[in-house]
Order: sequence, then structure tokens, then C-alpha cells
Amino acid sequence: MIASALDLARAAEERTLDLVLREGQPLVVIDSPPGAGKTRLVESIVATAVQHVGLRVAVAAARNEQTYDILRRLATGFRGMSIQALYSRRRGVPQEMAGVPGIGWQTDPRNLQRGPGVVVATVAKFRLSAADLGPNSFDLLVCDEAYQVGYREFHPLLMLAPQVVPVGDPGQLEPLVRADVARFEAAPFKVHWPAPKELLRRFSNAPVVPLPVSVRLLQDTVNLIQPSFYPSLMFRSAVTRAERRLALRARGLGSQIDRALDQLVSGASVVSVVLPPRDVSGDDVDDELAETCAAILLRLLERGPRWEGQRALTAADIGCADPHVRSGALIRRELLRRGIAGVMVDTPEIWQGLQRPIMVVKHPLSGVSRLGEFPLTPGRLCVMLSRHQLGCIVVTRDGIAEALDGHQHDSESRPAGAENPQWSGWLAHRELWSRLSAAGRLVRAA
Amino acid sequence: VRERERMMGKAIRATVTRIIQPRPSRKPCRLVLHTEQQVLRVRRGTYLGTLNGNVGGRVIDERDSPTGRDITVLLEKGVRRSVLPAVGSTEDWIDSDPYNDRFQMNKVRAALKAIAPALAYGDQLPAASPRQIRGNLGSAAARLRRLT
Repeated sequence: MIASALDLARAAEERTLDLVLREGQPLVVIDSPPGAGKTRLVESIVATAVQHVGLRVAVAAARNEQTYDILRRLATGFRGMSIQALYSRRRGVPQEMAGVPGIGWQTDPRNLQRGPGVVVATVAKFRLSAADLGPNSFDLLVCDEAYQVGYREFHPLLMLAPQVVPVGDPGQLEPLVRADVARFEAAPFKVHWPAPKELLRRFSNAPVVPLPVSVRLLQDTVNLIQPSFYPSLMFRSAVTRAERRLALRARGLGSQIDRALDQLVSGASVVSVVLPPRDVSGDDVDDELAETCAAILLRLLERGPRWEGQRALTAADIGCADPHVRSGALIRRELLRRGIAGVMVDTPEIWQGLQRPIMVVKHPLSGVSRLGEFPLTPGRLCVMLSRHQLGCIVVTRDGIAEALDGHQHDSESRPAGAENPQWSGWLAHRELWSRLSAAGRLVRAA
Repeated sequence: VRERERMMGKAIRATVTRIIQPRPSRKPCRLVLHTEQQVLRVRRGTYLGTLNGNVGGRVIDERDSPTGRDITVLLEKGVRRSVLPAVGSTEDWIDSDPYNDRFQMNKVRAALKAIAPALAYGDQLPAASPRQIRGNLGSAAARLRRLT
């Protein structure tokens, strides 16, 4: 299975390189599941375009941290390539990047070296510099994590190169828009949509390369999230159970948390710890749920977790995702109170692009009786359920199935062509919850 | 109002616990702020400034401490001794206003309209421009990797 999965990945890479570099397609969209090696593919495109074909390439990413990652990987992974970073004077060069050799740092786009090479910057920096850079100042523009970039931000970048390659994960959170977007739904340009989605709406004949395997997720996780969040993107796992085994040194005592941990050890990669129902609406924070998240992390560390055949796991190998900043803060406080340091606790927005061997996540529908757009957004749960390499524990209040069944979809009039994110979110949540339930993954108090 | 901002993590009540400034009144200058506030919306790269706007800089590190959270700010302004907050002083720190890019973006929009690239404004996907490249590009990419 491993060989054939890697063959599939290699074939997708070759197909991408042929479409972009040999055929010279003006627009090639790469749709990727979580952990499919997007950045590695970006590296291959850039290195081949610059060093094999002699092109000038721009690489854009949504966030500064993503550009640092790309720069570091290009500088350490390839020899003799001209690598330049275009960055904001207000932000400066971060300390950890200043020591990476082989990168030229520029704040003024007019000072960039010409000729074959790669220039890496955020979408925001390229956007502000577009007029100074001038039309077609690059042969090729590659955008990493492109589904996190709104079309409004991406539009000016289309003047920079005749060829554009957006690479991203269509199941992740869409870019945050702080305005009422109803008026844009019927507009000729969907400026609030993710850039690749809008480009594909306008140019439906553009080639799309789906990446076929995930090297992060186990097949068990893929079986849960692919039908729920990626109904039109088929993919499978490239790793085997033998490579991704969680082992615990101490035996469980039969408590609810221990039973959930034992399920992870026995091969289930996603398990849910279900607390009794309680309506936590408005500004209330579910302190009992936060305590349970902290208790799971503590118990996991007490039982001596190991990545079988690799290493012992520490607090730094465990992550915690909570959709709300306030309840996340409560989990962090609980961890501090119990003397656990080093566990990253953050929102799904920040977890995008990161991974940990073990994740503990709070279900966005937990304690919510009236479902709105925020908890139903499919990308939020998708991000949280696709960060783990070994196992994930979903902590929630009981009553999710009932809340989904009782949800009344709004029947307001919508412009033709408008999407209803609540509907797609409801479908994804229902699919996932029924699969978890059918697989016996809901661990309730005895 | 300020208390509500703090509850949402948009304003931070913090105490200066350390000043790392090799040369007095000169950059670089790092302040370590300690806060016991639970809700924080501060990330690495966030610009934090004092309410009067005299002192400000970017967050370069944030980590848990036994009694709260320590935030390290690399100051961009306010490094002179006369305005630099003293160790032990407590005050509110807030996010800066967003960068005003209106002038620059007007230039970009004018250039974009003048050029009118097909991918930005056209109805049809522009024609492909094939290149004569020999060999397998996947193998070429693998050869270029330093480790292979």
C-alpha cells in the first residue's frame, strides 16, 4: 500500500510539473487534502522552474510564518538557487530567520535582483508592491495555502505573472471577512470567496490536480473526514497503522478518559469523550469541559505515551484546539493549575498548517442548542480533526445529534448562485457524527 | 469599556518585568511583559502599543509562566529613557490601528486596470504557452533536492 500511495503522489507531482512548466497552462489549481505535502510540491515547482527551466518565480503565502517556512525549506533543501524575501519594513527580519544563509532580504520591490530566481512574500506584501513590481515581472506565481486567501486580496497579484498556480486545502477555514457579504453573492466577482474557488468559478475549464494521498493522517481518520468534509476530493492515507501506533506504558483504570485513551491505543484514531448535556449559550464558558480537556491531557501524560518505534511523547507533542479564545484560555489556565506546560492551546485559525502526534479538541457544537453559522462552519471542525498523526480526542457535550436533527434551516431568499455555508456545514457535521456514532467512538460516562 | 476590551483579549493589562536594552536609549530594546489576563489575542507579530502611543513594538515571543503569560515585545518606538516604561510599571497595551494602505492600493488598482490581465478581467482562460523541455520533470525535481 505504501509504494502505491507514494507512486500516486509522484504521479500527481509529475502531472503538475508538466501542466505548469511544459504545457505552460495559465492557471493550474492544486487541491490538497490535509498533510498531503503541499509545501513540498511548491518546492518542487519552484526548484524545477528556476533551476531547470530558468524562470523567475514569485511565491506568495497568506501569513508571514508560512513565508518563513517556505524560505527555510528552499534555502536548506536546494543548492545554488537565487532566493529573495520581500518583507515589510514595519515587521523586520525575525531573529530565527536572520541566521538562515542564502536568502536576500529586501523591503523595497525595486531593489529585487532580476533574472531567474524565486521571490517569497506574503500576499499582502505582493499586493501592495504590485504597481512597483510592474506587469509580468515574474514568469510564474505560486500561492501556497491559497484557500486561506480571499479573492479580493489575490486579484492584484494576477498582474504579476502570466501563469498562476494556487495550491491549497479546500476543506480548511475560508478567509475571514469582516463585512456583510450578502451583496457580493450576486456580483460578477465573488470577492469574498477563497481565491482558487473564485478562479475556478470563472474559468471552469482550468486544470485541477487533486493530490491523492495524505502522509499525515491514518486511513481510519481519512475514512471519517473525507466523506464529511471532502466529498468531491478522493484521497487515502500513505501511512500504515504499524508506523503510527500510540502505546501507553501504564494501564487504564476503566474511567471514561482511560477508556477513550485505550480506544486510541487499540487503533481508533478519532474518539469522542461525551459529557452529559448542558446548554452553554451566549457568553457562557463551559468550565467543566475545559477541566475535562485538561484532565485528558494530564492522564495521557501520566500513562507514559509513546510513539511506538519512534520516541516517548511529551507535552510538546500534544496540541489542544478550541474554537473560542475565551474557553481556550480556560483550558490553558487549567493546564497551568495542574502543572502542565508546553501544550499549545489555540483556535483552529492558528492550528491551520500545524500538526501534533496527539490532539485534544473541543467540538464546536458542544453545548450549543441553536446552531448558527459559526459552529456549523465545516472548515473549523475539519481543521481540528486533521492535525493529528496518531490520535485525536474530541471533547463534547451530549446532544449533538439532537441539535442537528432539530436544526431549522433558514429559508430566506438568496441571490442566484449564492452558497449556503450553514447547509454544507450541517451536512458535514451530520455525516461525521453519524460515522463516529456508528463506529462506537462515542465514550460516555459509565 | 476598557474592562470589556480586556475580557475579549483586545486590551492587555500587563506589568513590565524586564527590559533588555544593551545600550541605554537605543535600539534594540526588548520588554518582557507579564499578564495574568486569561483571554489574550496576542500572537507573534502582533503590534502592541501603550494607550498614549509613545511606546510600541512587535510581539516576538509569548509563553506560559507559572502565574500567567509572558509576552516579549521588540520595541519599534519609545526606546528613549524618558518614555520607556520602568520595570514594575503596569498599564494597558493595545493592538495598533490597521496599516493605512489607501494611497498604495489606488496606485495598484490604476495599474491593474490599465493592464487588464486576462486572468483578472477576461471571460476566457488565456491560451497556454508550451515550452520545449526535455526529460521527466519529476526526476529533475528529485535531482535538485539537496538530500537526494
